[in-house]
Amino acid sequence: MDLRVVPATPGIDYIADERIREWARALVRADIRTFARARQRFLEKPNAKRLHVLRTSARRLRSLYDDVRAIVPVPKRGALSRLIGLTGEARDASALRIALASALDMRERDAGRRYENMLRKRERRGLRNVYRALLHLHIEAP
Amino acid sequence: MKARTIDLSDATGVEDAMRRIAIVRFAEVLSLAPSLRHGRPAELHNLRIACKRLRYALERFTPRVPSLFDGTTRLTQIQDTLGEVHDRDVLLQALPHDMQVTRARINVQRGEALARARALLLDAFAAYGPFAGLMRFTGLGYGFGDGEGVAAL
Repeated sequence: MDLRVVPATPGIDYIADERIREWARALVRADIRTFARARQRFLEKPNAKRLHVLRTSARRLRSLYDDVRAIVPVPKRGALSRLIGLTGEARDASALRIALASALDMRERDAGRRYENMLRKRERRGLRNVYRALLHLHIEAP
Repeated sequence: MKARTIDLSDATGVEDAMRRIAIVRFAEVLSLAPSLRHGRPAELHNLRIACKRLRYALERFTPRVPSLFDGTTRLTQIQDTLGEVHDRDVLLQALPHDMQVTRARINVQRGEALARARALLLDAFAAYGPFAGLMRFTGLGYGFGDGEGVAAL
């Protein structure tokens, strides 16, 4: 039997309230575990594919934070957002290279190659920046 | 666009909490859908982010509410297509202006992707379409596939 004393506020079901919190905490814990695995894999071998997995898991976690932050703690949301920004720089460079390759006219290939090389450099720099930021980012489940 | 905070303080249970989240995220998508008509890059980008937020939320809910599954698949398609538009918008901003032929090709690709995204969204609201489960769950989106949605897009 639950003997906790709770203030009687009309319209609030405290048992339901606790069930919702527990559901939200379980979702946050699961997403943090997924992010931690993606982080570990990226640190072992930073490449574009693992960056994509890392970025997706970070975005999912931040999105969940935004959904449930009114009822459960959302640890390190700011640091997570900064990391997502960094992953975006590396990902954009990679995506732009692919988009450019699909449209580049051969008469303009010299200018296109210059731009492509610049994107490659930006992508490598982005991977390094993500790696450095990840070394300092550990998220503990609430 | 910042995600709206969702008030779950007086939700009556887990399903009600899921419904409240889905309503807010779906409303964000619906309010940004008209950007598919005028095609302004910043608003299209916001629509893509809103689709992503809604999809992430629905994917969490599908184990309890399987009827939301078709909606998540369609949102992935819309979001990927809007991603193609976004990549081309960024490319057009950054490419040198003397690369005229390449820029023209990118513009054509952008237009095609935008038309695909528009068709994917409108079709999702059809009777028994991919958003049928989402519309039932949230009570939103009725009429979008025929009247107001067509006018907006």
